[in-house]
Amino acid sequence: MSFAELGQQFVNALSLGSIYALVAVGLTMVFGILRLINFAHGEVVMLGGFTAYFLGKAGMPFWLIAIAAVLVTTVVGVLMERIAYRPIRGAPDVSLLLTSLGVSIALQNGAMLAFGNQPKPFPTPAALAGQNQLPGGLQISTANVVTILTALVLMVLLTWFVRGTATGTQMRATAENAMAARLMGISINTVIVAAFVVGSALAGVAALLYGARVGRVQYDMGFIPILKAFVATVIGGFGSIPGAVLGAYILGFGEIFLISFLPDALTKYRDAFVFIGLIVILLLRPQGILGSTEPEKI
Amino acid sequence: MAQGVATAPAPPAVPERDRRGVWAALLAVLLGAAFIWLADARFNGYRQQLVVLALSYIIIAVALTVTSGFTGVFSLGQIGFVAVGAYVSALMSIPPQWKDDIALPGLPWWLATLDLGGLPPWLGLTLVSIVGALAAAVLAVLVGAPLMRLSGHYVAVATMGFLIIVYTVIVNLDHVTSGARGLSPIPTWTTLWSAYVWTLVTIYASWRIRNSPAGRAMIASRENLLAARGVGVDVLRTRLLAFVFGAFFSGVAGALLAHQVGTIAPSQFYFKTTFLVVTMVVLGGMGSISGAVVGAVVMTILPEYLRPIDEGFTLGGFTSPPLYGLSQILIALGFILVMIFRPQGLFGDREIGLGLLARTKPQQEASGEDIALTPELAPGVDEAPLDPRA
Amino acid sequence: MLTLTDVKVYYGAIAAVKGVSLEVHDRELVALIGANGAGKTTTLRTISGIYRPRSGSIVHDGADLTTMPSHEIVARGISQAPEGRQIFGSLTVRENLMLGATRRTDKSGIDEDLEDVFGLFPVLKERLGQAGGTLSGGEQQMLAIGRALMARPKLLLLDEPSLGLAPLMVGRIFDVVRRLKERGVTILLVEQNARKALEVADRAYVMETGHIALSGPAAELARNPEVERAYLGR
Repeated sequence: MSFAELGQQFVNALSLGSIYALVAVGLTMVFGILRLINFAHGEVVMLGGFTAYFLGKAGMPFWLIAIAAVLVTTVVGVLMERIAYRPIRGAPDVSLLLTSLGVSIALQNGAMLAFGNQPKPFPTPAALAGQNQLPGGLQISTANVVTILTALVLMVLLTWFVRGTATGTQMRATAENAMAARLMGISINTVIVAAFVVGSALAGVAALLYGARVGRVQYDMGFIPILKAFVATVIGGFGSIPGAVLGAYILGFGEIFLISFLPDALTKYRDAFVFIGLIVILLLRPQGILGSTEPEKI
Repeated sequence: MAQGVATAPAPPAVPERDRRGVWAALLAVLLGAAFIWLADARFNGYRQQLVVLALSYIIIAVALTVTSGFTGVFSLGQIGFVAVGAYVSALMSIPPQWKDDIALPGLPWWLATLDLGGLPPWLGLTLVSIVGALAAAVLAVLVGAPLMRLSGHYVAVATMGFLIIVYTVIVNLDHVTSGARGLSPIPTWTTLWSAYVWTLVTIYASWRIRNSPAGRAMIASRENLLAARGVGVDVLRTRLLAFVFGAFFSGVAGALLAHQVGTIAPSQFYFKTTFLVVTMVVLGGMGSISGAVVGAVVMTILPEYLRPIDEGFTLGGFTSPPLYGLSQILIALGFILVMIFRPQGLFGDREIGLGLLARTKPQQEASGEDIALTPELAPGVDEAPLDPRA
Repeated sequence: MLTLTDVKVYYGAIAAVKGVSLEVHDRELVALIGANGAGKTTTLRTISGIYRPRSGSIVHDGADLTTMPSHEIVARGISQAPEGRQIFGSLTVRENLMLGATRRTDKSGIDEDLEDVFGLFPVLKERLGQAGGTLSGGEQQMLAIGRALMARPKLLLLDEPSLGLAPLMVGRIFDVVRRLKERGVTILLVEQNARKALEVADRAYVMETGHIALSGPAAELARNPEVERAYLGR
């Protein structure tokens, strides 16, 4: 592989990883506090994508679309928590997971019902569509650059939020020990809502970047991002935000370079390899790279 | 419980309650047979297909009850085993001219030339079903040995990974499986009676397991892992047994399904079907065989009745437009409501007749028999569960 | 003043607390002693709002706590150093302490109290930036109490502060408890170490399998032959 190609793949992987990271963070934050694997998080992304489509169709400028999409996903996330997840708090892990599957299916079919099952074009702004020439024959798309930078900025903001604000610290405390957190006077409801707000907002940004990347939105577009975010979370460790980010980039790089190095006949089995990897991780180190507690294993 | 006279050497009399149970079961079997006979004679082709579908789903749901309900180890990969059973059996029974070098170049010669056309259908079906089921069972041993060490959502996630792997392989290995466009023509050997017999076998086998030491070990390890270990239960082996058992019968169901419609495609064996089966089991009660039967029947019939909602219907002077997906939404919403208000489903842990439809709030009022979807350590007296008051 | 009236707390169908009535007057140190599993921790957690009693009432300074959410109970000035310390291991000592002040808004008061906690537990000041999980058992207990003090509580609940600590450390912890009492902090102390508890308390209740078996001034209970036999090892 030439330097230019290598560089391109590198940027591609970084960009893909960035999108996965934005989705994975929301997943892991909610898991850390609620022990809930929110499959419907993918549908949050999907609804962000559709918001962009409709507003784009209406001719809104992209910066406004972006804000609106993030607002919509945030509201969707909060509603989801309030309606579907609050009533089952305290239920066994698997009940939570199954309920989130139910929410996911309800929302997917809702989208199919409301928007049809044909993909719709994503209103990628012209500014993002370009390519840029760099020394060494390297060519990077503007979309990739924006994706990487956006994710970087948001990660920094997130770190500040989680470490430097009262709510963020409360979230970390609650994720570690919910009962002790309550004894501190922390309102668990507030913390949970905060986790959903932050996670869903990031999912909204991910929707925009992902939509720009694939160029279209459809009712089941959340399926792939959530599975990827999910693998990222396992790699990095359920409940660990830095873990989710790390896992996302590892997955991004793993996918891109797996395609490059796999013999042609096997590239279409990429997904199978990813999940074999997932199972191996679950067996060898289920708490992931940065996760803390060793889960019960026999 | 009626007892015989209490002298040591006399064999214990069969307790009154058990004898009644045996009669009830026989009655149920006869009623079922009568229904099948009726369906065979009177129902049109479409309705007959529906009955076979229901029977197949009963098998899958009961199998999942053993795999996950008894042990508390939740498997989202069940449908992967159904797929294995379906594809293996189909590849055996499809006539050679349809699986030659042009259609399925990847098939080994002995499979490609295998011609079961000379066999009477019931024998052919039984043969391929068993082989398909065995294939699923072998795969289950390989997959289950590592995976059954995990619990809770970790095993749910890992088995989901298995489902995705199976799907990906089937879709992409198209020189063997014919990929996404589907595999056909499969001889339509499945009859109402063969499906019914297999259903009875599955239910009987599951019931026997439940009342066997292995079954008690499964349930013990679900309720309290440490305690079960403490009395010498080999938890891993128990779970693996349940997993393989479930895989075997899922394979059977797959073969039945394949030989009913005559064509199969990987999309039938993925998330949508998984959710359907999960709904059946949750609806009926995760640890209950009779619950699984009820759940399977309901969830096979219900989509049929909801279909007019999807396709549009006319009632009186009112015509509704086609609303594809609405039936799925309703089912999903129903599922969520069950999870919120009655997570133990209809029968919880019990079978029909033993205090049906009991408690309404399982989380609040815990008793030894309550459903735990994951093995949970019994807390000491000084530790009550968190009241979600925040 | 805290008043529990016939409080019953259930785990599923099992009653952990079977009708407990007790009082803690202002500036008092009341001890709640009894064997493991008697329901003492459940009682404290119910006061703090972690569990909801099935029946009975909990009243503090005129306010009904029985159905109040836990964060409001803390806001009313009731804080707890729970059994087993339960400090946030992944957070720093400083973050742990500041979390104790979650429901407070008076920044200068918080800073004062922080200095005060350092005065009581100088080692915490040394370890301010360290993760809570790296502290020793005794230090964690100090952190747990310090954290509870950061709420400037009107009522301090201490659950088994001596549990798992070496005798020297137990002595130091009880010294602090004594100092807090002298300051006039109202304390409800749950302890398995009945001797130490009765030494420092004004009044005490003895709890057995979910109900109050005995109550009275601490000195009297310490001389009570049943108590001596069961809990003081004589």
